[in-house]
Amino acid sequence: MFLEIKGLKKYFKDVKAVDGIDFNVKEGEIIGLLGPNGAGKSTTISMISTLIKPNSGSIYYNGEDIIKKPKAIQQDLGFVPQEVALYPTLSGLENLKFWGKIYGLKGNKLNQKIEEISEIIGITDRLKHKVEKYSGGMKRRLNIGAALLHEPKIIILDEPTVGIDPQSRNHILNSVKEINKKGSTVIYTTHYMEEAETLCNRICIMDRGKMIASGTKDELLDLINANDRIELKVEKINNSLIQEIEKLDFVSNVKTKDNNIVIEWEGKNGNYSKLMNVLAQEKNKLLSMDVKKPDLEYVFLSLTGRALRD
Amino acid sequence: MKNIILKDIKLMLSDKKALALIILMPIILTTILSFALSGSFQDAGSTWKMKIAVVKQYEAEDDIDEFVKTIKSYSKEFTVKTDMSAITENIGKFNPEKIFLQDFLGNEKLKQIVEYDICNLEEAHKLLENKEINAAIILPKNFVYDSYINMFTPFRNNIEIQVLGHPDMYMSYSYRITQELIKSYNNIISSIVISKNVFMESASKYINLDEVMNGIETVVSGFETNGNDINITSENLKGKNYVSSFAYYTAAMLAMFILYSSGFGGKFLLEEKDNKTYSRILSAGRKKSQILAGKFIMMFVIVIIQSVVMILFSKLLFDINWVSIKLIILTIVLSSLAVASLGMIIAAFTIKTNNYKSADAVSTAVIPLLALFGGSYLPVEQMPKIIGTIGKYTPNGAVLNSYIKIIEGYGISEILPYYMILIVDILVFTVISALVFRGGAKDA
Repeated sequence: MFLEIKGLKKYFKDVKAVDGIDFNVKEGEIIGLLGPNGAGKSTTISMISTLIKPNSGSIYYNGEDIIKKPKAIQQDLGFVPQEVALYPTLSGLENLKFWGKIYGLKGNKLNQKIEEISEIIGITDRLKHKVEKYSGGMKRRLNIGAALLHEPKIIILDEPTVGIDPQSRNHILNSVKEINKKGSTVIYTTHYMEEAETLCNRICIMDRGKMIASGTKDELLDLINANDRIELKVEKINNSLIQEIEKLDFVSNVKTKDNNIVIEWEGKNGNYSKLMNVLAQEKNKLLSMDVKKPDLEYVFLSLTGRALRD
Repeated sequence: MKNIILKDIKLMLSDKKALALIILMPIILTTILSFALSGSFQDAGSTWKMKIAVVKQYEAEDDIDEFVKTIKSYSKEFTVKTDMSAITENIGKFNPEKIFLQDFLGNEKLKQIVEYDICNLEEAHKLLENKEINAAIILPKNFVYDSYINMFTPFRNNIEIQVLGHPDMYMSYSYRITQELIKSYNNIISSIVISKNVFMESASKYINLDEVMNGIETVVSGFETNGNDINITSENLKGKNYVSSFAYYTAAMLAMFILYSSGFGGKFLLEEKDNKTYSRILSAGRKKSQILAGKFIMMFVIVIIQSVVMILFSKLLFDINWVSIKLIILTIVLSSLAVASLGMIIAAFTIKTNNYKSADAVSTAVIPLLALFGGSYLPVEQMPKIIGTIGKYTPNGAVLNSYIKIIEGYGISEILPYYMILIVDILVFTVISALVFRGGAKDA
């Protein structure tokens, strides 16, 4: 196994930041650690990055115990912290040169990698400007670029898109995909469910220091056996309408919420017209309709009883 | 390692505000203080002399008449058959005014450094106001009468010789030297009076008072030989260079402002920790010791830059002769090491407490205090002795003393004690910072 984590625990006084988690990372995949703030994602990757030592448990990288031998992973690792860990009064180029040298690059190889990476992260034309003059998105991209220069075998990104505009966010997500295509394994932490869904091959859902579920998106959805949901806003909600909807064989659950009817159902094409027929028979007027496919947010809600962003 | 050090130096050089503080401020302050406090320093060159005004507030002839009258009244009172002609003759030989002006101030040794003019009080005040003289000596009313009483009778009258100075020059060497001169004059006179009193007391048991009074002359005449006891310390400085206010304040400001560089290690280290570059470097397999070494060398280099800039500035603008390049280099290296190791203590506390308070406290409280004790504001000779004693062991005090000795033209043997203090400071600071870092290692 490329990276194998077993029984990992990290307590800060009485706080169980990470409370006995197990998971594996396969070479070449993008694995997401999804969870709300305080779930233990950053503590977990800090332990993988050898920045903090666990209270117990093991982390094996290519068969080597990196708790005992941190060097085994350090030079193969590209770590992108959540904060922009750069020197704001130095230029982008000076920053990249510094971080490249930190990872042992020098001379032509370093210059060539700077050229290549700045192209990927899209800051080539601003390289000579001071980082403090960059926009938030550019700083984030440079923050990632600094971890890519030495062609790391494993890249850990800790919530790299927090607080930036959608354009920069897309750029970062595309960059991560590109990096992965070039052969790097990626561990990506986020509390944005959409990012985990679109980016990751596999997702580990964490909450309160524990790993509550892991697998591909479909595997996670299977865990809760979730149906599509449709939210109807109608002119008038009455018992007769609810009863008629409940009689439909593809409907598994009907609830009312404010002026809306929330229906859990098997959302096939033909079923839509059957539902509309019921509304017509009841002479009720449809004001709006919102179809919701089951997502990781819903998985998290089902497993923890709380929303991902609570 | 080289990469980390270069990065730290680049960061320091990109901080314009910090650079202005450590490079420009000492230059500006040196210029201001050198001009403003030049009165506290003697001019360079061996021809320097103090100018003193002597104000006579007595009438010599009236005082002599008054004294003769007094003696006559004593003779009646004690029914002593005193030979008045002998006393009058002795009075003629013992002239307090001549003793003070010619034998004392006009003494061959004092003449090398003192030049005096006699004037009235009003003129003396004007001369002082215009700073045309360094001090004024006021010989009080009845100076001659009281002196005779002290010399020729068993009684003693208080003679208070005043020294006046310009308010700006109270701390100057010249004013203080004048005060010391008056003190030594009083000491000499006191010793003669004591000898006379002892003689009178002892002799009166064996000989009659007439002979006693005549014998006093012999005792009092001893003063002329005692005049040779006056020693002028400038003799000891023969062959050494004088330190001008420009030279002094260049060294003083340099010694003070290099201390400000000690705060940068802590500040930069905490910034590094706050913006997570610290942990990012560690995650790349670099050691904490490399990061700390980067900060140490950054401070070391910054102090070297500060020192070289100040020395070149003073050389070019004030034409200060720094005499020995080798000793200057040695002093710069030792002072840079001392400041860098002091900086590591601050860095250790900054990291331990996880805030800038330690670095700020050093800038706002500790450095000004060290500067005061080390003589950066005023020469320690002009302050209470205890300050000078403590200040000698401060890194800035040792640096300042080293530079002053170099400018004066001393060799390494005379400067070695200050270098030893710096070396001890470096060792002590290093041990303390290591202990604090070790104690705070878990937090860091």
